[in-house]
Amino acid sequence: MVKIRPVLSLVICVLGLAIPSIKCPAQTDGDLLPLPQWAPNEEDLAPLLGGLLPQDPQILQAGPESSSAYSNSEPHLGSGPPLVYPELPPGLQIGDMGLFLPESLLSQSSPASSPLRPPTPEIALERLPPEVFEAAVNASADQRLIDPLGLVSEMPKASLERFLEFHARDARIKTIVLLMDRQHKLPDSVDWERLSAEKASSGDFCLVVYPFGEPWRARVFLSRNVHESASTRYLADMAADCVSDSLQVSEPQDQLHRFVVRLSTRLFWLEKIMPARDSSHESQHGLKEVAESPIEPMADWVSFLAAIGSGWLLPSGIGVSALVALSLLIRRRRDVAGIDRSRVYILPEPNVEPRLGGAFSGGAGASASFK
Amino acid sequence: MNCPHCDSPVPTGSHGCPACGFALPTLKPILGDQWVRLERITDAVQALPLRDSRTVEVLLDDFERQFPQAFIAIYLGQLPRQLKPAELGFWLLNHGAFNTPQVAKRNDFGLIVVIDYTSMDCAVSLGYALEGLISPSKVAKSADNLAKFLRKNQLGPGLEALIAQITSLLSRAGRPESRRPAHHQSGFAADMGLRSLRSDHRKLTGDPEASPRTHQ
Repeated sequence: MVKIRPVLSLVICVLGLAIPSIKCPAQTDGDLLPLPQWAPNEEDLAPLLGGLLPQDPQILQAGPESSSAYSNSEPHLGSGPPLVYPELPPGLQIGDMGLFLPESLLSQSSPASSPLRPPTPEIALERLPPEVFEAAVNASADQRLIDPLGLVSEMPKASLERFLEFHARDARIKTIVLLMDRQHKLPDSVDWERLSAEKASSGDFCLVVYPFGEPWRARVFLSRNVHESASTRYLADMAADCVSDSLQVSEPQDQLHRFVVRLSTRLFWLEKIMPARDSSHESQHGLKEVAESPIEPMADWVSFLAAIGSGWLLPSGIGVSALVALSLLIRRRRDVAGIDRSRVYILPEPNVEPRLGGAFSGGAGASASFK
Repeated sequence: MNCPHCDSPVPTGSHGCPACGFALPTLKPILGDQWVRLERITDAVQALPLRDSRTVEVLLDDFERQFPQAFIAIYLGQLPRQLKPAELGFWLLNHGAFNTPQVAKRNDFGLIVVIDYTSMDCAVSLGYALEGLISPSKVAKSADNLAKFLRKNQLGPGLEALIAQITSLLSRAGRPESRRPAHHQSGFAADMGLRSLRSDHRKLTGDPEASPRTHQ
């Protein structure tokens, strides 16, 4: 190793002297780099730039000065692709054009989701038009999804109707969904008796009045038979579960789909706790709404604790209480068993006058027989 | 307090039972007047199984550790007909040198349990220091509880329950302190590692040097 080092140093020095003497060929030919060159007036300049320039030849010929008109204009979206029909027929939307697309493309999620809209303020809510309610009353018995305003596009609507049909075929509690627009609200004076009388032939049923895009305002009505077969809290939990599940997505149609699917599941659960149907007993007509938050003293107390602790205070409080109780129990047992080795007890020394001639004991005590 | 022989009330400072005349010298013809050396558990009739004996020994160790001044001793035997368990307990507290781990313990802080398999009686006897800390009703209750176990032939559990009860009662009467190293006697003998035996004992009443001490 000692002999090799001088040799390596010599080689490095020779290479260092030789490198500056190597010349680039371009430098030898008049300092020009070997790149292609074009004449300024060549016509095929535009295609070589990859189409990033405007296609209007006048703009290209006018030079960069004329592009100021584009750069100064406000940004805006260009027009969409040309439609087959310049004007869509009424009731048909752009999304409906997907009817003509292959199945594989239909299964893809739509790339452009609608922007999130803030909840409609209470003051902006309008009464539900009477014709919407009339449409619900006059709907045929086998119509499960009532959408008089055409809020749901055709494919999701067909899918939902198939699902509701499937549910009605197997479930005891049929489901009817009445869609209203997001700015609508149910008026106070709704003739539910009339609606329930029309639907009574189908037996027990559940009516959902669903504001499209605002599932938290959905109202769930149940036949009186069904409503009285479960606790108010259970039914409120059922409705709240449907709302929370629908809010997992932001698209109104997806929200509706999730709401209905979850409602179907919960109605099957509800059937399990319902008493068996008595054929001799006539079903009670009328609808009864599922209350949002039933007032129960114990439930309020628990929800209050859950609210102030964001859900973790109650379990942790129970755990701490259990630990404290356990430690107290162990301490008590140790005290009783007299094995508390950490402390001693100093007994007082009372002044007792001796008796019966005993120096240390006067015969105090007790006797018992174990015969 | 009551007489160990006839159970009549005995006034404080009385040299003999007003009803039957019983006193410590009354037992001299039967038991003598000599000091006897005893273990904490004396099982003259082999009534206590070995496992229970070890358990009780551990409990007695814990008791003495927790109450450095006090001790509990147990005597199991068949007594002569003329001797009652309460009388033997009374005599043992005044003539017994119990082999406790800390031999300097005074007998007036002692509690003796005597179980007689002849008369099928049991007795709990207390020294002067303990009789002011445990009320007669509590002592009677402890003795009755022990008798219940003995009726079921459960000697070991009965003794365990008794020790637990006495521990509970004394812990309420005592002043709790944290554990500290044992108090060392001063003096030449103590420096050599020698400790006197029964140095704090009071003299017997029959002793010419007897002079009742006042315990502070």
